[in-house]
Amino acid sequence: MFATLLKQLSTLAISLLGLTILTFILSLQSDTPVHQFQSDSVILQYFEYLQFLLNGDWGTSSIHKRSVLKDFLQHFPATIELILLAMILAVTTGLALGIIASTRRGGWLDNTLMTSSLVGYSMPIFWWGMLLVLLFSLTLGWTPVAGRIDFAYDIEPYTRFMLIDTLLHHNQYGFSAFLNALHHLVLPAITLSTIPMAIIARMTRSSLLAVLKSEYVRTARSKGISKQRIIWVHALRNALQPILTISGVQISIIMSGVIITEYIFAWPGIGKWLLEAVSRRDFASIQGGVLALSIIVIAFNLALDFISIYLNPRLRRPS
Amino acid sequence: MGLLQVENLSVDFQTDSGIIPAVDSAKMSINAGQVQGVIGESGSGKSVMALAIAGLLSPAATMRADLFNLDGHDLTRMSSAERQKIISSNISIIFQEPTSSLNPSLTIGYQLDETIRFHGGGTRKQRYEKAQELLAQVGIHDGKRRYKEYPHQLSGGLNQRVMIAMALACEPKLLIADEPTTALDVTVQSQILDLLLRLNEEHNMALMLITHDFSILSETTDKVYVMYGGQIVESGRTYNLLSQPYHPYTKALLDSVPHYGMHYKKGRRLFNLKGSTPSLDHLPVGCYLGPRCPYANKKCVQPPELRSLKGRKVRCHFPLLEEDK
Repeated sequence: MFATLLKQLSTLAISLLGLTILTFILSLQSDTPVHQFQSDSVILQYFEYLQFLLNGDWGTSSIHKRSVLKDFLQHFPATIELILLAMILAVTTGLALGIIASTRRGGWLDNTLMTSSLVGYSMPIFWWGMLLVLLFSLTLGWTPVAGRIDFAYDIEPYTRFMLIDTLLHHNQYGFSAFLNALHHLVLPAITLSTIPMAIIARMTRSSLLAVLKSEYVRTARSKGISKQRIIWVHALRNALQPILTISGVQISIIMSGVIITEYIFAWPGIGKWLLEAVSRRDFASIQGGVLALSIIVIAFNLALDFISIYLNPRLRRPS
Repeated sequence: MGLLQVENLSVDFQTDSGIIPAVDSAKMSINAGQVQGVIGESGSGKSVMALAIAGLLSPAATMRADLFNLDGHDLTRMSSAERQKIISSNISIIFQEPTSSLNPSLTIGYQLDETIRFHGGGTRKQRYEKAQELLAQVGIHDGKRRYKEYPHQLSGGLNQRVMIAMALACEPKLLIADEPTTALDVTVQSQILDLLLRLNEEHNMALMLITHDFSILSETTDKVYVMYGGQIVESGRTYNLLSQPYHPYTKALLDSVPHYGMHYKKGRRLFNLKGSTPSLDHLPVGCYLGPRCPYANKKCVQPPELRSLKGRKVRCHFPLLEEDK
């Protein structure tokens, strides 16, 4: 087990090395340099660059002269809120749909679910988001069009997580502010979760079907164990491995999806901040933002690797 | 009164290229405490027949039988849920690959405990003691340690012992062993066989041994069924059948086994049957062995019936009687 952990950590180190080298090379091409280096040698400059990064000096925005890291951290909570809810939606709904489809293999429900997941999977997110706004916000009036909360609420940004901040203002507004924030969050989260949900549902179905054909499931059936128990105890645990792997890939899809989603819903997060930086050629912000998002993707995948090691006794306890 | 009686058992598989008859009107019976063998090449339908009897066929298969009696219950007149209940409390089955037949994500103890819980149960402590007792019965002496381990940490032989312990937990009247030793080392093979025979005696548990190895059958079984192309082609008492096979296929199978010791002659070539086992979706007309059979003639395009002959059953127009030898 220790060896597997060490291997995971070394891949993390290599990914981070590659990532910083890449952003460093890109920063050398810029005509408005983000950092001022003392040495002439490129190699020494790279180490200086690493030092800047570790000291928290990720450059200063050329447009509004603010620290990039500070800007990033200010916008980040809104994005985390959106991503987390989207991921929870995608995983729970995706798993549920996949399980339902696999237990009714070949039936009308299976066919309907798999066809609609194919549609969901192929949907361009900007168009899908607009369609949702058109239907639920403009026609039906069920959800707000944009933003994180109504202007009527005056919320002090303690943590910058709107759901937490509104709960902290409980004395002032009761739960209405929290519910209002949640209300604003629903549609963007659904938009963002659609593609990963479809992929996870398809993966769950195929992985479960493979496991349900396996010999140990046949053994479990021969013991007279109920169908539900076979799925939840015997099959799902083994089917989870490929589902976890594919969820790791989803985080990068979500990261690019969140930029578009935030733009559609005027969500004041990283995506919107980055898009503005791109349109104004604010190089320091772009570089810092891309670096930070990549680190998050890498860290997320590492965490998933640890979970799958934990779930798989063959990795956890090699014979 | 037999423990299990099956007549005209047929299993068809629905595939894209049509319906494939994997088992064709098989007839078999087994008494309490009896040891029987089923022998045949791969693809002869022996494993499918075992799965059909154990109620474990995949959804793509359809099964028909004129008679299916188990321990006095008529299984043809039941819903599939009721049938499954009767079967799982009377029949246990172990498979060829012990390691992949156990769930890799659950400990040996968990899987054993689960089986005990579904068959009788008791408190957690009682179940643990029962599990330890079962592990000891199948010859696993460090049961306390093995209880906490996963299948991948055990050898194939140990895993097969665990499978047998799990099978015993159901207190079955019939244990079907589908090539239980094929995937194991030779030394372990005989240990597992000895274990199965010992349990057969101690628990008066009938044993259906499915194999393609005559040497296993000759030592262990009272009665043998020979299968070819999904049909039972010959059945009878083991000693008689092995010493004088009536069906050309049985004879061919026996002749292809190498003999050592007294009968061993240097330079003697092993007999081998021409051609290969017919694929079940392209079975020959008439007798399925016809194209490969050295004794076949025109009459063999008529499908032979299974008929009784001197206390045995043979499916052949020209059974090999004494004068032919």
